[in-house]
Amino acid sequence: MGALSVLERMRGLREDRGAPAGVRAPQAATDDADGPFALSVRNLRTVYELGHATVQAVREVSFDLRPTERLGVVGESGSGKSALALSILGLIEPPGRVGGGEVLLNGRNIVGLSERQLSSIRGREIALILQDPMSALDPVKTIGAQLHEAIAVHNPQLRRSALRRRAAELLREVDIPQAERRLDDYPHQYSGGMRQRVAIAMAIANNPSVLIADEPTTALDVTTQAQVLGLLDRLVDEHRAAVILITHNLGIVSEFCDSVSVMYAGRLVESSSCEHIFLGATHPYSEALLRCVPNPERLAEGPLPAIPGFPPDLSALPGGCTFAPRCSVGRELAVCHEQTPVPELVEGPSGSAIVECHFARERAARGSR
Amino acid sequence: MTEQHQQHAPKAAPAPAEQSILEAQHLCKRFAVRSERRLGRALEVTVLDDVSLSVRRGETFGLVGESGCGKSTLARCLLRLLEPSDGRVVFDGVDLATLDRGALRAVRRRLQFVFQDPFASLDPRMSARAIVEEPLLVHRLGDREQRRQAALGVLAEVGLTAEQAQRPPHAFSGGQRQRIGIARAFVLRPDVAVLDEPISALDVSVQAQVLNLLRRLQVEHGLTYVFITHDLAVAEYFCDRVAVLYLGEVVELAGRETLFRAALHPYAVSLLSAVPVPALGGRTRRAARPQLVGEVASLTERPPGCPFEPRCPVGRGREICRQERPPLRELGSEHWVACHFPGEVPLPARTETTEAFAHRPTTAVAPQPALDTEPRRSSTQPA
Amino acid sequence: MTGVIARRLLGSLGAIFGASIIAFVIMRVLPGNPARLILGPLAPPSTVHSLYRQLGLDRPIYVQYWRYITQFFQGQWGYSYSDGAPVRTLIGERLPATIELALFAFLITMLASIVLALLVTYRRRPIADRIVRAIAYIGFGTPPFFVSLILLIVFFSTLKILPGPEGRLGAQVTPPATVTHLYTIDALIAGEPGKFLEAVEHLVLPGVALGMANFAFLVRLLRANLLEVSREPFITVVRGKGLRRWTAFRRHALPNASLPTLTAGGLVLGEFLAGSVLVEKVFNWPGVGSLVYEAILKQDFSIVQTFILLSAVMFVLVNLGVDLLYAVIDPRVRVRSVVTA
Repeated sequence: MGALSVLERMRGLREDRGAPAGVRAPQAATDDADGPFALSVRNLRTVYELGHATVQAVREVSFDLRPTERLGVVGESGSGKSALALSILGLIEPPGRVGGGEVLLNGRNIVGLSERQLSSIRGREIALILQDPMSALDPVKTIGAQLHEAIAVHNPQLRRSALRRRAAELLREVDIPQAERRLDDYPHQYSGGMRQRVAIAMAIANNPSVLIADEPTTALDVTTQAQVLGLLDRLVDEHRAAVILITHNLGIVSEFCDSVSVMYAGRLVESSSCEHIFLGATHPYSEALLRCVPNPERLAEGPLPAIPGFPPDLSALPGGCTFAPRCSVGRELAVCHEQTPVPELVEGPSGSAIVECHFARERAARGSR
Repeated sequence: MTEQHQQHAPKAAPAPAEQSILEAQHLCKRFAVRSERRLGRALEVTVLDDVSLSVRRGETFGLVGESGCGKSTLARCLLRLLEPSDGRVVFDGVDLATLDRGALRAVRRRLQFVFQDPFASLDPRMSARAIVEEPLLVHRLGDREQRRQAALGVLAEVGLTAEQAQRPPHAFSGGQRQRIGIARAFVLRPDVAVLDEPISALDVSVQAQVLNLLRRLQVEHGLTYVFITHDLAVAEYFCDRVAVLYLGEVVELAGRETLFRAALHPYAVSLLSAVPVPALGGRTRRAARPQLVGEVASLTERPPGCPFEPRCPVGRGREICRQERPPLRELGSEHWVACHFPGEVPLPARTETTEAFAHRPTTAVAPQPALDTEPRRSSTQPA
Repeated sequence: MTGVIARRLLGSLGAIFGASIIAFVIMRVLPGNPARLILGPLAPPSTVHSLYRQLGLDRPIYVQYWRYITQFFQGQWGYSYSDGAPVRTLIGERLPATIELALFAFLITMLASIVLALLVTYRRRPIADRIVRAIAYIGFGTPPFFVSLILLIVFFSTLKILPGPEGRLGAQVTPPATVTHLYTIDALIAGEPGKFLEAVEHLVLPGVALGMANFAFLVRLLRANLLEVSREPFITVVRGKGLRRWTAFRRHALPNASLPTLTAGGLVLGEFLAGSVLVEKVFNWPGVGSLVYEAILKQDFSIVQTFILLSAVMFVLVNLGVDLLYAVIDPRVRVRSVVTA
């Protein structure tokens, strides 16, 4: 499945790079042998105009998501991964704006739709789960009221009693004990894990085909994280939703996702199946990210292979490859500092990947060791 | 690592490396919490309950647990930033409670603290150098020029230039701020540093830099660390011995190898197996993992017996677990466990992929731009 | 919940006690013999002395205080030094005018603050934002009597669209039949829309003058709160559920942002009720403020003393009401949360 979706992404990529006219119909990007994509993002660009500077949070990002596929987007803070999530949903607030590109949700471009049209899509076709369970719920409304709202906004015909029944059902579905009674509680009476369950319940309330989860377990303790991840896994299967899971933790990607995209400075620098990245990441940044996680097995090897420097300022990106100043491969090489690498499809030992690196092919071949 | 520590044990210390430098004896900490329901009358919660442990000279002692387990409170009690309600803290053979203010001040110089949040713990109006100099000023050490030199010296040690030292904290990235925080703690040349989640506010790629720095400083200066973290991978990498805390009690205490390969307490086992590993086979690992029920109990509703009983896959509902608090017993060599049924939940073995991943070659050789690029399949020729 | 109320009540009693001490002490430290002040310079010393004893001024200080405080809460506020009329009657005649002005000023201040704060935060409107902030800035730094004069010059003398400083109604207009003593409401009850309009017209300028400084304070507070709340993740979440921008704002941002504003609103209303001596004076408003102004000129301290304590009591009561309202609206105050470390 992973390899397949990479191929599909490749097609989108070809379109990005301006395939000859007539080679493919414009609509083709949303279809493949297995049927239409749940979500196709094409050249999406998001900028924040801050007066003194323009922050390029998302830079011409393209990818495809098949129905029920689970894509992990991995990046550090400031890589633009949260901006990507909000851009897809059309929730970028000024001073930010989506500066171009398409978001094809079930085949329909939703960039540029009116607030009215977008709001009928949000929550019904595509839903959002945010990181912080403390601030993701309105503190002055009951859990029940907030669940009602999620259901009622897309089902205005439902009466109060039906709403309440459905809300209780949802709470039971996310394993909250005594669901009926706990509908009337306020968020501060719930623990962090339970709040995140409520957030998940609200997101799946209308059976969306795409679910975007931005660091859904980061604020939770590790045992709670395991529970919430297990719950999300079960519900996503039951509701047959495709998921974009945004995280900084590659361990979570390994536990949850089919495919992975590594985001750096507003670009997806490596996209592949999980097999590929965990058995032989091609991009030096992906590789370094995997290796700088402390590993006791390598104590004898001396210091951790840390990535020098820190992520670039998105308002003052270096020319050439944005990772070059920190890269173990290209730090000293003129080509990396001067030329922007183009996305390339490479074959590794465990599948194909799209990689933005001047040395993608050599490195992919080397990865067979 | 241990060998390294012994090699670099403080030269001045006559005591053998095995001797404990910092000890907690039956520490308890209770807080009064105002309860609205009871007309504002105080309600007492126990955050630390009879914690005893000893930190050996030159080692890194890990305190591991989830939020609310009392690890930060314990750290603050060890430094007497908080007054323990009961029990003693012994530093280098001296009970801290017996010291007067002057003597405590002298001890504080040797016992330093690094905070978690590199954003909140630095005064925004001071330059990096002034921040690092401040402890010297407080302890009235050296003259103006000596203090200046000492501050610049330690800043250089953590990787900041004299030019950078003139900037205020907001001019630095998170990782650099944490370096300033470390420099501030280390400028007094302490014997023990208590590090409270020193890297958890940082990006993954920056965490490794700071860990490497801490390790280097430890080796160079023969420091003893108390390292508080919720990240078990970091604890396993960084600590020599680790205590696992749950609801203010030590439930398991052992050397790194022992704990991470053969944990016996069901909570420690759950905690260890809950850590997602960035390696293939994550979904299988997740499916095989023992699932805990519920979440950490509220401190106001402490179970009377074993604190973990309500969530324990082994002891939930068992009479002895509900009634009787298990004592911390030494079950193996230097392996302490507080459980009535230790070892009933086995720690899942590490999968082969994890091991394989762990031993991947780590040296990244810069490949030369190859000329014979004949891709097997390439639909994207660079323009 | 009961704990909250109990603590607030205790706090209120403390505040009133403090104010009563201040009012009491002021009377004792002021120069001059109250009995002499009441009777005038020509009264014989024996009369002065007997009044002195009658007023209880020869008793120990705590007895005097106890007498003063019990009499205050029984409604016996003593007699005016200057004309001997009961203070209660004097204040009672003037209080409705002050209350009507206070409520009107409060209403327009709150409305204007909410509307303008919403206007500049709901969408980014840099120019409108700057204008509102400038108005707020000016309003904050300008003394109310000065605002009053400017308003009179502009709307009465120059534009001639609003009545001048002639009190609550025009000279020829008779007050509507008395029910609540508030002319606007009484006019509505009596079914006299003409008089209602007349009363409102007379309220506009003093209301604006009185409200200006606090409008500045409230609009800045509400604007900041709205901006803060609209950046909260839960706003993104409710929009992610499919709520439109405006609905999300109205249902979630506004209630959350209003909570801190509620406290401020209580302070503002309390301040308005305590009356504004200068604004009332400028507009010849027959309220408590101008009564006190005259009393001060005449050294009529029994009125001043009562006024101090009375405004303290009103202030405390309004804020107690706000606190209780808070406890009803904000579940975090109402419902005890689980204690975790």
